[in-house]
Amino acid sequence: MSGLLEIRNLRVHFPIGGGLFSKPKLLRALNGISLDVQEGEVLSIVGESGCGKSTLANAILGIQKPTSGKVLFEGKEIHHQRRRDIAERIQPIFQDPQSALNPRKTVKDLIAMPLRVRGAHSAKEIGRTVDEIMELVGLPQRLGHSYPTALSGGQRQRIAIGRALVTRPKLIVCDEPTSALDVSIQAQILNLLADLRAELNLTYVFISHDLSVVRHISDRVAVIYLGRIVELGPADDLLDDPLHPYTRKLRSAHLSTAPHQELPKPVFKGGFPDPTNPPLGCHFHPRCFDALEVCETHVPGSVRRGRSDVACHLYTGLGTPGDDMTEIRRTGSTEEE
Amino acid sequence: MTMPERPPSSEDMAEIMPLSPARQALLQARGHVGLLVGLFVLLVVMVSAIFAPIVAPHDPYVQEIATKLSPPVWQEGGDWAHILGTDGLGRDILSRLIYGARVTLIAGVGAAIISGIIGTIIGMCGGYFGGRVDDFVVFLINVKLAMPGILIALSLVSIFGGSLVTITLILGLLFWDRFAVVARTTTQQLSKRDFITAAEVAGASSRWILMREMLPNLMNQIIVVASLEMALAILVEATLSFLGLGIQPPTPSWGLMISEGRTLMFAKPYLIMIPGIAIFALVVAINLIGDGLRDITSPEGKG
Repeated sequence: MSGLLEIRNLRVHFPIGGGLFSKPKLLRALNGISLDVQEGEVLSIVGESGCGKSTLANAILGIQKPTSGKVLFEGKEIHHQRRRDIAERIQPIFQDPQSALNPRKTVKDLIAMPLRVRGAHSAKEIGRTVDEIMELVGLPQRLGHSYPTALSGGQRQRIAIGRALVTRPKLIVCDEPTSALDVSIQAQILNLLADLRAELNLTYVFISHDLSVVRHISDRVAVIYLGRIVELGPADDLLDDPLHPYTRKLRSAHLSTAPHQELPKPVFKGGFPDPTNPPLGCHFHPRCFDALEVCETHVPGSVRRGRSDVACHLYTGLGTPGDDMTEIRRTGSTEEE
Repeated sequence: MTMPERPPSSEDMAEIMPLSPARQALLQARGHVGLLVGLFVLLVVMVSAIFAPIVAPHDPYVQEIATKLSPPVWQEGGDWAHILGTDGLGRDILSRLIYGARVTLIAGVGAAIISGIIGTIIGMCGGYFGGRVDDFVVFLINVKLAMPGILIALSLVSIFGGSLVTITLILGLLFWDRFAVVARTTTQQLSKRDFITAAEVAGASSRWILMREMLPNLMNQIIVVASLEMALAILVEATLSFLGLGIQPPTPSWGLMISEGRTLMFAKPYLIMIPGIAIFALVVAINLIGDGLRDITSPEGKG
């Protein structure tokens, strides 16, 4: 069974810097990502800032051209289609509703924007659809002519959700949709997203760094480190019993709400590496307490463990003494440059 | 430590009356003295310019040699028939001032509109498209900034002749640089915001994004710049007219009136003082309006 969204070995590289005489450095924002998203599921993408989450979101939305690889939606390459056609089926929700809403437009105009851009609807149709959508996302009709600056954060995010739904899309890419909101509002918005998903049979790609939010909403979780997926599995398995050392550390760095518990100790060796000059081998090895010799030279391939896929030499079996290079080549995981 | 108590319906609390940004600005304008004074002066000048045939006590072109050089009423020998006196050809100064306001305002407003349109389009394109386009726009702006505006205006007027239309066009084509700078930087900032990305994702054309998403957010700054450019254009028009390269006599223009009074400057100082004060008051008023508008539409918070 093929998914609603298929990402095949996606790479996005940005040249950065570089003047007249110096060669630009290459930032590998995404370095060979492969993912399937099934219809109706919620796939969360988790990682530190700078790991490529947002680039991945932009690539799915069709506004970031891949350097290589493919993004297929319903079997068709996204980047070969007109943006307007993709927009009918894939829509974004952004992190900060303050930034995502034009302060000079009224609520109704904001929600109607994707329909107006499409240009295939009468004003009457648009008006009716917008009214339905406001009802759907829980915005009272009397706010229709207000400006977003007069509304609360939660209401603004409802407008942003309404705008994303107005073209009746199948897939919504949520880029940290709750992290700019008050904690009290976060739950409302998450519940709204969950209700809408059930009601409209939506599929979400949910980008977040908040593991408790992720657990609440996701079916599956992908953990990204420096442009590569290090672990991908069902949300419960991955969060309760993480396999990759990075996932484990992420989870233990998560703040607890218990009042007397101490702050978590720093769990990583060193800082986040320079993404223009990532460590060889497994990108995580300089910060990993379990690093083996092979981690410094060879990129780990993805291995199936239980219901999860994990890219770590602890599971590839390559790190144990007595291995020779032939086996490494067989798994196709030699360092690429 | 206790958590601050939240009202049960925190979402409903923010449901204020739907106030449009324009309405908010209007409310704030009421408390701004400088803005009100500026608006009052501009309004007086505009009304008298528009209704000049009704307001003006005399025909500005009729020369009454018998009453030439009669001083304004507050000076000895003044006459209520000519409140601000008459000039060397016996023309009523007040009437010439009122008709001259037409020239001044048309040149000022026209130049501000033309340069506003040119500068805003150039600046928005540079700020939004970036890269090569932006390099070119920055180059254009730098070239423009390096040109001595008044000298170029002078030479162009001497080539094309000094009618009101040519002067307005020349000023409009010369003073777009500040609009471009302001539009460019503001557009650059706005381009990073997610509502632009949302429009791009929806498949909006660049023209749509610039006109429907960007421009309404630029209007505040553009109006402020427009007021300053209008004041500048009025001064340059007066300068050109004074130098004899602007509006040609006998059409009344404030700059021309000063020029005509120049020869009698020491004997009859009111000949240049009255139009001088008029120019000064109008330019100050427009600058006050510009400052006031900037104050009440401060960039953040009020949208």
